[in-house]
Amino acid sequence: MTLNEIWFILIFVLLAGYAVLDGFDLGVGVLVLLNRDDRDRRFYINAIGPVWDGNEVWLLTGGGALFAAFPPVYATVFSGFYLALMLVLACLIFRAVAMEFRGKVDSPQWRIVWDTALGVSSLLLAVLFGVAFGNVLRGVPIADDGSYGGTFFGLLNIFALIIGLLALAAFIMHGAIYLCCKYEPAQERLAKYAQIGWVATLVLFAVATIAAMGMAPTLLAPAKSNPIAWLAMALLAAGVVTVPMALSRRRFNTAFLGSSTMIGAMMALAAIGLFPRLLPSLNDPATRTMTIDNSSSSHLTLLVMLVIALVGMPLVIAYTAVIHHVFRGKVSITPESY
Amino acid sequence: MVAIGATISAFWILAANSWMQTPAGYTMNNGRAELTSFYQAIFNPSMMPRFLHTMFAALVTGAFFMAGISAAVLLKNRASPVARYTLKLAVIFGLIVSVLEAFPFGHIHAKEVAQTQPAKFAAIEGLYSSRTQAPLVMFAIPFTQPPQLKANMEIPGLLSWMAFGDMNAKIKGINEFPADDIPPLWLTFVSFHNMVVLGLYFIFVMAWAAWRLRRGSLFDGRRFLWLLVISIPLPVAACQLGWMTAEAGRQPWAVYNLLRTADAFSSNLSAGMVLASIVLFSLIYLLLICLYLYLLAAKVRHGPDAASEKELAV
Repeated sequence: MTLNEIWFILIFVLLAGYAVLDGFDLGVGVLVLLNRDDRDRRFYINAIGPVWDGNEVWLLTGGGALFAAFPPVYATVFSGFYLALMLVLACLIFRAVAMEFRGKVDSPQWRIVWDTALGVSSLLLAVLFGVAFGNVLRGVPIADDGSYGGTFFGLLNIFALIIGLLALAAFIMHGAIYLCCKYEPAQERLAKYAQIGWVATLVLFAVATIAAMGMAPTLLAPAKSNPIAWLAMALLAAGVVTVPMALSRRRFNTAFLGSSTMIGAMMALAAIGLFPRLLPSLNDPATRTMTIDNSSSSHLTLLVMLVIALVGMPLVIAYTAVIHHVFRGKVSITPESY
Repeated sequence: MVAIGATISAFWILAANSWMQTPAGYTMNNGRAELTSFYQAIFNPSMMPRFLHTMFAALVTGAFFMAGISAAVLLKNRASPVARYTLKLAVIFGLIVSVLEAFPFGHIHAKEVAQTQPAKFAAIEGLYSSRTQAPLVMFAIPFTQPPQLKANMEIPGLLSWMAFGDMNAKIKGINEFPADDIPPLWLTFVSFHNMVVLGLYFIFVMAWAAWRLRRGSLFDGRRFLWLLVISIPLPVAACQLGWMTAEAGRQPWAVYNLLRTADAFSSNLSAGMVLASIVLFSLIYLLLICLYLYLLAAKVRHGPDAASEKELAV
């Protein structure tokens, strides 16, 4: 395995980790919009309170790793998706601020404002991440100097929007299951949201697959020949079966494992479909597509980064595990809570 | 843990910035800078001076924040044991870090700039023509067409001595650099000198506070406590001025002597898009600072918890 391949896999692991981890707290943010009860909302938000910022670190490291390992791809994507990413940044700010500020003034109106800000920015983020990822999967027009050759509205194509809705559905399912583990009084309605999210995820995944046949056929090619793709599909199937079974038996931790597997497996399928490409070119796939070989940093840079990653990633995984362990079980509210 | 994390984070951010100021540990290959030595790239010439100067600037900011908030609480409740304790702590700590921030760390950083970025050094010190026995300009009003200082107050020879340890050392002035390679003169001179003035002010205020603490009058003088309160934003301003000096002084380069800012921007972004994002974030930050000040004021009005007050009351 070459260093370039290792870095493709590492970046995928970081982004898949982000989707699984921040996926549930984005989903919880959306679910806040669907529950008008002030007390329930407070429990929802405190369920993700200790973990959401650690979860977002995975996005930061994923972006940072892309910047360092494959700088031309980073340059094209981040300048090409400029306005969309500025919107993402604004939403990330409002989400963080909303959680910190909501409990600082004892007034129902104040809390409604911030809870709405949290919900709307979480919803936008889920869709925007999906749309951005959908564009990478489908490919974008790449100009002859390597920069993005399309427009902002070009990013809102049908395929990308389907992936955006798929991300939203999957995160709502994932977030609802997470809350079922954390907060008993709302379990009935949350389990229902989880089921609706599960159905929507399946339908949208099927629609996305059919759309890919027409709009991004190369994504599906490995499904015929690559055994790793079959493994990912088997995992996806296992997750898809586990979620409703575990939900009906009220085994929410198992259901959470199932929805995590679903999201991880979908990310894996996407990565396998892309490999070894990082950003396909729509206008000239043969020569302008950015791959792990034509767009990487120098060998020494990748090697130094690998050493750093081998030290850093276990640390990140360890503290993520520790924080989830410390705050395991049901949510409790103290005067210091959000 | 938070302190360690913040320090490590600052280290890597400053390593990246310092590399842009004084690139090292690389070789050019087909127009691309490729890493040759990780150690040299991280510990490039301006890294440690910048790191120490920036970290201590942050500590000064923290000390003034803590002192100012404690003073605000004391203005409301003169007896508050918590505020007395935190103010004492902030003053002792603040005096130490304010002094260290200027000397040695500010001095070391300026000496390093004189060596590694002579055009920046000439611009921030207002040295528009080369000379030996260069004076240290204490105060002046800079004019740009042609570059000149008016109403100067200066100490002859001191700049040469401070930068190179020799009164007679020759320092290159702006006139020796091609017109394409000189940074904005007005902005760098003004931001640098105001930063230095503020730095001296911090030492003065903290020394005064320490003297009052020794004399036992620190907690009583309402006017002095007010001075501490209104000083809270000044270290933040000094940090901003310092970064203006560093970043405007690097111009017209994005990576010093390697990549011009004019060649470094994303060609597929329109000016309108960049403007739109600046306006968006300015509005967001304006909203947040208003909310922040409102909440901070409410917290100060509320004062420390009764429990911690009791604990510290002896």
